[in-house]
Amino acid sequence: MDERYRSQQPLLPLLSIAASRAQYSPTQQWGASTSQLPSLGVKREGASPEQMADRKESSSHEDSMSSTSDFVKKLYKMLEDQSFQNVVSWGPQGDCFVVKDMNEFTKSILPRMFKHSNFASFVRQLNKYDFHKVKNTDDTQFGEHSWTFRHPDFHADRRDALENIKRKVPAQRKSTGAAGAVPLTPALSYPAANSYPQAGASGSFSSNPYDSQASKIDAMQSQIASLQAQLTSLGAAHEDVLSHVRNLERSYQEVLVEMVGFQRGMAQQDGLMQNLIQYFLRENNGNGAGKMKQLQSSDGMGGGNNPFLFMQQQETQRILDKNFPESDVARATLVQMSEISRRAEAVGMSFGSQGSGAGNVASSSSSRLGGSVGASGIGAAMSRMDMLSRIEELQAQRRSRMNTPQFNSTNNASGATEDQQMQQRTTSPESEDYEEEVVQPTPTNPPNLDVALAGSPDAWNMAGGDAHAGLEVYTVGHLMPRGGNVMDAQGNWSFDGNAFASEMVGKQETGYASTSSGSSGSPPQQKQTLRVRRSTFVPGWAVPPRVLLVDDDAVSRKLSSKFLQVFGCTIDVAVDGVGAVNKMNLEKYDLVLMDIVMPKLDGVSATSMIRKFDPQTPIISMTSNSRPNEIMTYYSSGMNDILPKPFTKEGLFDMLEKHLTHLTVIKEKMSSSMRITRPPTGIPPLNDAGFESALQAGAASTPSGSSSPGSMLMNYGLGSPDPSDGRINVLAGMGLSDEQYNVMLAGIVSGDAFNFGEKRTRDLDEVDPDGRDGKRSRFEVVE
Amino acid sequence: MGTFSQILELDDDETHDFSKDMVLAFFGQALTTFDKMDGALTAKNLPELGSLGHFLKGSSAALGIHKVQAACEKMQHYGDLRDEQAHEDLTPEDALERIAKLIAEVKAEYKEAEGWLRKWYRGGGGPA
Repeated sequence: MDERYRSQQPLLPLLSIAASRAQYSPTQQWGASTSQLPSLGVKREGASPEQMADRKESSSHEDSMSSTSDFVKKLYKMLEDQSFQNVVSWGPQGDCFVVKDMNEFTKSILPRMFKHSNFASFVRQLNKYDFHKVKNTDDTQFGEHSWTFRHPDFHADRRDALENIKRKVPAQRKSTGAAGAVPLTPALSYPAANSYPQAGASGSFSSNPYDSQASKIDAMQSQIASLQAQLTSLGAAHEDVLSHVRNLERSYQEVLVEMVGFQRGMAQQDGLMQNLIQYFLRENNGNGAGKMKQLQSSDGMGGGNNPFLFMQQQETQRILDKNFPESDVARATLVQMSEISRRAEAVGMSFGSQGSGAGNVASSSSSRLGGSVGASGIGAAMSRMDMLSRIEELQAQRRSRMNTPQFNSTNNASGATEDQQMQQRTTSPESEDYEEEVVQPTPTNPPNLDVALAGSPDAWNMAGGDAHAGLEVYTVGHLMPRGGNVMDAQGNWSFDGNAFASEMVGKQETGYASTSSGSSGSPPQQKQTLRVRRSTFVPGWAVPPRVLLVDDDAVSRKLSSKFLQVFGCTIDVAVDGVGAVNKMNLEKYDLVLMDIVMPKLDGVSATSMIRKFDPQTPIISMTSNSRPNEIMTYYSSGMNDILPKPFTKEGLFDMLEKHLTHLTVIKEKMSSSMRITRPPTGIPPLNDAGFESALQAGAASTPSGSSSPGSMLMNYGLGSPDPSDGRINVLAGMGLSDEQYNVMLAGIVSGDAFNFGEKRTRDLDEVDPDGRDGKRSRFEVVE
Repeated sequence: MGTFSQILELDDDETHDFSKDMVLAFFGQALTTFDKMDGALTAKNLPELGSLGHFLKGSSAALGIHKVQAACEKMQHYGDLRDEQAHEDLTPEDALERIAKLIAEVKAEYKEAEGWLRKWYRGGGGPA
């Protein structure tokens, strides 16, 4: 409460009192007041305590100051009292009084004279009697904290004028109520009429017109005073609100600052985790199997403690969304891992005899893909036929190279690295070298990675981590143009992490699309793989979603799976509810599309059963029965959404997007790769224009993939840098020497002939429910 | 025929292998379903008739054969003793009688659609 502020308020209304006095119409007010008199006896009971006090004051007046109010008398008496001189006294001219020490005044005088110790209410009462605080600008003789009050009729030597000091009329609105003929008039005008009994009690009422007029003025004044009181309390409230707002602003700023600090902390943690990863990878590559467990444990820890930092983008999102426990992190990497191997398989590598190498191959190939997209895309103008012939050349080259096999030699083979780089450089202008990458998935069986594929969860997790590293190579390469040194970039890395990651995945996508077209390069199955390629241009999945399609209707099933295939999903099929439940038990899916009306077990029951052991996987009902009560049944069985049949491609896609956002990456980033990779509909699949534009996009965003590996060295601390130009074997990051790499290539080339036929059928049979099981079992066979 | 042309867009090349597969699967499925319908009608198995109607409704809708779809939907509701158009419940006898008529209707619609589709594919495609 600002007393000064409050006490200054009444200055303005004072003028309006003067004005209203001039316009005052006695008769009107008089009539209104007298007509109210009968009700006064009752009404008086409801009067406010202050008014009651006033009446008491005025009725128990002293003879000397007959009509002076008690308050004013007390005031006067107080000022006469010499013992108070040092605290409160008349002003120098005697036309005002000064409270010299507010604290002392409040403590000692107020209780004695006015029976309270609230300076604020003292001032308020002064205001009611039309005293006004005088700004003590000119007379600072009593100190800054003195309060000076003045009233025109309040003089040290004019005791008789005290009569004129009256309590002001409580409120303006009350007097208007009295003047108007509103139904509420009696109650409202009561305060105005209030002063008559007082006057009557003093004996001057009936005989003295002036007196009555004065009392009316008095009533007016008291009204104004209460108005002013309202004003001041409003002002105080306003003041309160302002200070509250200021407080809020302050705390808001504090929160902002803390958030920034938190982000900074996260960035640091991220950097730390990166270092850890590198450290373990180094260990891993150096010592092979022995260290894998260690990495695994750190992986788990990272996932548990700090989900943001360690995982790849999509996993991070997933974790963020659902707050997955550690095991899910492991699963995520597992899924990712098997996804990569699936890709690799689609690309044309064979797992048959050397399944154990697959994990490593997959991850290395993905890293390879990353680099190669950038490296290759340049000369995209080349026609497909040219590319095919180039491939054959390259394969021949590799075969000859294979003649000098150096199995499992040490990690540094810089001479060979250079060799490799040379090859890469020569081929890249024709956008060819990625062909070799594509084919590269390898039959060799690097000893240190056997463990990763042993089939135990730990090892899987490890493999996931490995794959992550491979993918990250790509990101690093992407950073290269501006940073040059990944260690430097790391400090900032996590801040821009999203952008980079999305770009990375976007690229990956592009790379993938072109990769599969690359695989089409093998003449015997060209047409078939084209179809695969076309169907795998993907909206923007970081990892193709695994969708379980449950439908008993073969026609719908074909159509739905075709749609899903076009959207880049991996599809598994069940023909009834029982099959769906079984599959859910065995496999992990990202999404389930569930028909409702099915033989054996309907979709609703199947969903309730699945929900008993899998509360998370989104289950979407596909149904033509979408009446409200039916929909309620679907939701209550645990379904997440409804996709009414017959649905369109767009409807299905929206649904996928809605429930698989964690698998997509930032939309804007993706849109570019979508545009590039989606060929115009209706045009035969492999149209060179779309293919080339995809390649060019890769080339544009990653000027030179092969120039980036310098940073990879930093990242993994192995693989020997080529001192001349800083390039290294991209695969070195995976712990593969060039010799191994070449052997891998050779194996692939020779293996192609045998495995293509079988693979093709698998690739194309999108509804083969056993395809995945078969693949997995191959992984698991390994020991 | 919007649905059907959308399916055709999914074909990878000029051979329409995918859509043809789908259509053929539909033919086979429809014929099987008709057989089942006749059997269920003889057995006066209304729930079975309803679910058969639902089944064929789904597959015909997927191909965009709307007349068959509509007839099957009616059959589905009749199977539930309900006339959705008149919003009234049916007696089993009434429902069976209507379904008997409806099956004939559906078969006719289906024949028409099948003829059209076969012609379309024999003609080597073209705008749908």
